[in-house]
Amino acid sequence: MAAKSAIERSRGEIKFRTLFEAALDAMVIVAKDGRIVLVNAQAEKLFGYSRTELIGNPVEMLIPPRFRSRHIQHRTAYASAPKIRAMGTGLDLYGHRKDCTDFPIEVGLCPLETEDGKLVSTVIRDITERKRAEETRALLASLVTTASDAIVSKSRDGLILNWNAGAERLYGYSAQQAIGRPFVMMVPPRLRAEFARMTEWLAAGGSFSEYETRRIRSDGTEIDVAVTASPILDASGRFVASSSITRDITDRKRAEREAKAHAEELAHSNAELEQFAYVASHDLQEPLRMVASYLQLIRQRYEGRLDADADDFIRFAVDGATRMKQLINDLLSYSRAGRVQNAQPVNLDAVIEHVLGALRLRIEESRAAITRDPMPRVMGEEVRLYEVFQNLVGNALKFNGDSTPAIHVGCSRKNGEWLFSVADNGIGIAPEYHERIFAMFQRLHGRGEYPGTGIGLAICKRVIERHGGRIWLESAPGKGSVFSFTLPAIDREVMREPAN
Amino acid sequence: MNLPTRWHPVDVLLVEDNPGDVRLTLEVMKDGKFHNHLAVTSDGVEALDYLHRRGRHADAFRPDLVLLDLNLPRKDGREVLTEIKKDPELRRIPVVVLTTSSAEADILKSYNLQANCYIVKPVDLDQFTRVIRQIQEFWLEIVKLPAE
Repeated sequence: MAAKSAIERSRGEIKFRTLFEAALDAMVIVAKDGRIVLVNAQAEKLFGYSRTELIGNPVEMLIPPRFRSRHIQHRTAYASAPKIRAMGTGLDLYGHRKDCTDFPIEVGLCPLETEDGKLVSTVIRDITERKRAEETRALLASLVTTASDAIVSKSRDGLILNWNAGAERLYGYSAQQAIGRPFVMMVPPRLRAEFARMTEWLAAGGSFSEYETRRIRSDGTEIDVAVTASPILDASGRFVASSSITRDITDRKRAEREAKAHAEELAHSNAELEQFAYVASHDLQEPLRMVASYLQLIRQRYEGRLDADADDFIRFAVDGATRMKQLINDLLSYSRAGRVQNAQPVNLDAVIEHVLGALRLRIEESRAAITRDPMPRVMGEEVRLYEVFQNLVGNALKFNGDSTPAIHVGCSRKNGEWLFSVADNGIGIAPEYHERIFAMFQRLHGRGEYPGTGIGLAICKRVIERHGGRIWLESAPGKGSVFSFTLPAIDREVMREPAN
Repeated sequence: MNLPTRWHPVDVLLVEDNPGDVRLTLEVMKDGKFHNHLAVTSDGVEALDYLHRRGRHADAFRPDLVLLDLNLPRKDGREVLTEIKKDPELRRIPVVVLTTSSAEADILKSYNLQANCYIVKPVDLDQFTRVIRQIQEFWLEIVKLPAE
């Protein structure tokens, strides 16, 4: 009998042990005096102790030191009135690992009557992950609540389900007023077809982001918004609701409109100014042609038939008219230099070739030595770039004093742009004039010495700046001059020859 | 003495509103070897009356050449050019656009309207003289035009 019960007892023990070890939660069995009697493998793993380190020691070793004395009181109280306590009730509890780290736990208690006396079985579950998830959810919830954007969810039939404070501010309806009502009331009537399409798109599983449209506030005003929305699907993938984040972009839109209007206005006034310069200089030609032509006719027919004074006067008048004609032509060129209408790849080698061809007579007459670097292709208007090189090389030939001109047209690549230079061994320019010479009609010499109206460099500056470059000068009297300018480099794609 | 190269004086119609230009053209032509008759109308409407022999131009000769300014009162040169080139009777008359405008748009438009050539009036008298002489020589002497 006793043997049988001993066998049964040992069978029961085996069954118990198996279950005890197989449990998913950590289990610790504690005696009445608080000493640990038994632990399972999960408990060892959870707390980082081996069972030999645990058994026989007070259970308080598994509790953070700051709670230990209170735990002893609780344990004593429990021992006098033991009952089953389920998990997930009561206070936040913490476990204490061998490495002295704490972690949140849930504890279930169950009194055990055994031959060895009253024991307490303790089930301990690590809830670190759950706590973290709860915290994340709370953080997200507070983000939704405090977000300045309107965060709204809608049921499949378009009724408002959630309405955060941002939505209250954006639309002017309180959550109480909005929830349960159709969202379409925020959509201007003319945009309802678009809204229906967007809803269909969401229902089909699509989403969109930063879609710019307009919405109506409770006070009837319209606002510009950017909507990011996505569908909410249930476990089987069916569309059950949608959520959207809507931002008020009224200010940004207004700023954009203002900037655009401003740019248009500027472009308009620039175009008007250019038109004015063009028309003015063009219309000035007409009366000037009359003055110049009739003065010339008078000279042809009456020179030498009036007195010497009259001949002088006529000559001055003809000279004046001729110069005026040149100035007006220059003004026209200058106004044209401001337009870069058809920027396309320009082969500067060909341009220089043309310039040197056009200047050949002057080059031969002055026996100038001209050297040049290979030139790249740049984006721009060919005629304008031609004018630049013609002016610079022309100046280099002109302002050479008595020496034989030696001119180098250079080119190098620097920081994503091309650097061009036209260097001469001419008379040079004093530093105080380096800025001034780029202004319109600025001349540094008497007309008798070097002819010209002083428009050439102004045109160069305008053309280069309109092409996105800069132009400057390094020079000193008697040391020659180096005019340098930059142009943006274009990438290989653009430089490739058109297929033909 | 230079004899005219044609047996009858050639008729040139000058459509020009600026009296200074009219006189200058006359003066230049007077000094040349061509003894053409120069008729002048000072706006587009009158030019078309002349070409169609209407009103006070009922007795007008059909010109052999039209020198046409573009900017004219009442009806501008572009409209005159359009009407000439649309009219089966008039469209064979060569029209030389002679204007101060060097605007690309005007040049393109004129040729699209079938102008026979486009010339920008030179500011310089010597060049202007040369241009008028060359117009006369080319259009009245070198070019072979259909008989009436």
